[in-house]
Order: sequence, then structure tokens, then C-alpha cells
Amino acid sequence: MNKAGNRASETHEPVDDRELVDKARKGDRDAFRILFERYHRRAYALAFGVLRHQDDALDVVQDAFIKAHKYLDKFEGNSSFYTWLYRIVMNLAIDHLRKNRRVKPVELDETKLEEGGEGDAFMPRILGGNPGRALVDKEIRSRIDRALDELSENHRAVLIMRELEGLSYEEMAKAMGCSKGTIMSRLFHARRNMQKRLIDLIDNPSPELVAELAAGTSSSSERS
Amino acid sequence: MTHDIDLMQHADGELVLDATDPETQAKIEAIHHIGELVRGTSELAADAVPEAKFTGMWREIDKLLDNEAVSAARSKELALPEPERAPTATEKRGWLSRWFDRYRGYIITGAVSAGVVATIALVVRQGGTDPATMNGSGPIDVRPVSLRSPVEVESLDTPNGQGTVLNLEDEDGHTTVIWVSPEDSVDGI
Repeated sequence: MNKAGNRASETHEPVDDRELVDKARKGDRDAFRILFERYHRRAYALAFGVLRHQDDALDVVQDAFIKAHKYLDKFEGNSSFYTWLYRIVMNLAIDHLRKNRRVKPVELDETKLEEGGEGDAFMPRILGGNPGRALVDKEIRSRIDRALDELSENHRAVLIMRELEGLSYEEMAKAMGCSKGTIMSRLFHARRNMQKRLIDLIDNPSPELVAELAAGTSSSSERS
Repeated sequence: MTHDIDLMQHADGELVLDATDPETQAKIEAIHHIGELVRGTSELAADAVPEAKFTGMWREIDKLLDNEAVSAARSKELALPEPERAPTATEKRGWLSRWFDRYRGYIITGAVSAGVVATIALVVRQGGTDPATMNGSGPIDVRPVSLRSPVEVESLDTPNGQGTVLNLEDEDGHTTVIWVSPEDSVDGI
């Protein structure tokens, strides 16, 4: 559970988002603040995952909450408040990417990766038996960060939407304004590239990492 | 042979496949593993942001929402229809009203102090010897008048100058004063 989630439960704030939304609509700023407290880190994780830049991600989160407040009346309650909020965050993050599009050398690398064909795309190998434990290792985390940084923006956006929010291909296609086939292709290449960039860690882990992972296999995951 | 793109759809719950062989199972596990790593890294990155940043963010949001509320209230005030009012004496009169409509630029209707109006009334009444109140046939009789209601003052854009229209209600009834000042013809002034 994230920090914000802990705080919300500790202070016995109303648990129902819907109730908070209703109060916020009537001008109760404190109710809106509780919604902010609950979801700001989760919204940030999403924005940062897509943008890979702290200040940009913070700006997007701030804009998203302002927009959410402005359009609270349009929130129909068919989905959860967070589902509605993450769509706003995602749209703003994608807009931000479009406005600040940078040409990244990684696009060339991806072409090379595609030359290998799709038949042997995914390698049936993983990093130890416990991804949570693996993340404790600074080296692995920095390698994953670098691999994410090096993905093209579109590939990364799709990967983050899928892995952080579990969006369906259809939902992602709608969010990114492209076809389901394009989403599938982007997700496929994003995952394949991630795996290729991490494969030497998987195949040749350092002795420290091996020891770390071995210790981790007998204990439960540290992350929820 | 199952293509990996189909395998990925299967792993994401978008396609149902028979994926029982160990090789396929291992690939599916690898796909999930990447997901775990991406999720974990992103959540750790979010947790690494100092709480003070978000506290500052809330302060900023709170301030912006306050500003928005103020400007929304102002816009609402501006959007309110003007209250209906009884037609003025000027509007009731035919030619003057039409002339008014033709040259009306903007209207600054308001109450003018009785003292100012009295001064204007002194100007338009006949009599007196003040050269400022003389007309071609002799002096204008200038006498103070008392007003029944505040004066309506309106400004007019006329073809060759600026005008002011004053509507007065005094003991003699309704009086309209139209004061036109010709535009200055000197360039640059």
C-alpha cells in the first residue's frame, strides 16, 4: 500500500470516494483534499512511468487534479473515481508527450530488434524467482529504469498503462487514439525490448545478486 | 507453432489459447515477470518523491481552485441579464429616441448630484446677465430648480464630436439637455 493509502485509513476519513466526490461537488474543499491524498502517488506513478521525468510528472498530476475538480459534475460514477482520474492523468501525459516530442535514438535500436522476427521474441527466462526481491537490488532497479528510459515514448506509455493500470487493448487504443493492432504491436515490442535489455542481468547476475535472490526465494514478496 | 504475439495476448487475457507446454508456460511467466518489474519500479519511484512536494502541490491546487472560483463568480455576475427597467422618458419620445439609438456609443447612466444638475439647469433657463448665459436675443433667465429624481446622464458618439445627454425631471416636467462638443481637428491631439 502506498503512503497516501496508509494515511487515509489512519485518520478514519470516509472510505467511500463517491461520498467525497458528492461533497467536493458542493464545494467541500476538504473532501477533495482527501481524494488528492488518496490518489496523488498512484497518479504520479502513472505519469512518471509514461514521462520518466519527475517535474513533468508532478505538473501532469497537478493539472489532472485541477481538471478533475473542474469537471466533477461530469463524473457519472459508473466507474471509480480513480479510474476516471487515471484517464485524465493518462490523457494529459500523452498530450505532454505529443507537445514535447523528442527524437530518441532508441527508435533505431527497436528496428534492429525487430529484425530477429517474432518467433523467438520472448525468452523463457526470468530474473530469479521473486521480482519483488529483485527490486531491492539497486543495480537491477537502475537497469530497469534505464531500460524504461530507452523505450520509445509510445511503447513505454502502452507498457505502463497495461502493467500499472491493467488496461485492456481496447481501452489503451481509445486512450492513445490508435488501433488495437497498433497497441498490440507496441506492447509486444516494449516487452521484448525490456527483456532484451535486461537479459544479461538474467543470464549473468552478479554474485551479490545471486545471493540476494537466493535469500528472497525463501521469503515472501516484500511488495504488495 | 504459437506466435509470441498470440502468447502475449493470452497472457494479457485477450485471447484464449492452449498453452500447456513448458516452453509456452515459461514464456508467459517471463511476460508476467516483466510486468512485475515495471510495476515495482514505478511504485518505488513514486514512493521516492518527498511528501513535501505533494504538500506544496496541494497548496498550489488549493490556491488555483480559489482563483478559479473567484473568476467563475465574476463571469456569472457579468453573464446575468440586466434587470428590466421602465422605459426612460427619452425612450418614450420618438425622434429623440431614434437619434439616440443611431448615435449611442456607450451609456454611462448614473445618478449625478443635485448640485451639478442645478448648475446645468441654470445654464439652459432664460434670463440673467452673465455673458456665459447669453443667447443671440438677450440674456437667458437663470433660476435654480429642484429635481424630482436623479438625472440620467448618457454619452453619445456623434459624427463630428462627442455628446452628453442629460435627462432632468424638475417641477416643470421633463427636460433633455444635449451637449455636443466638436472633435478637435488638430492632428496629434
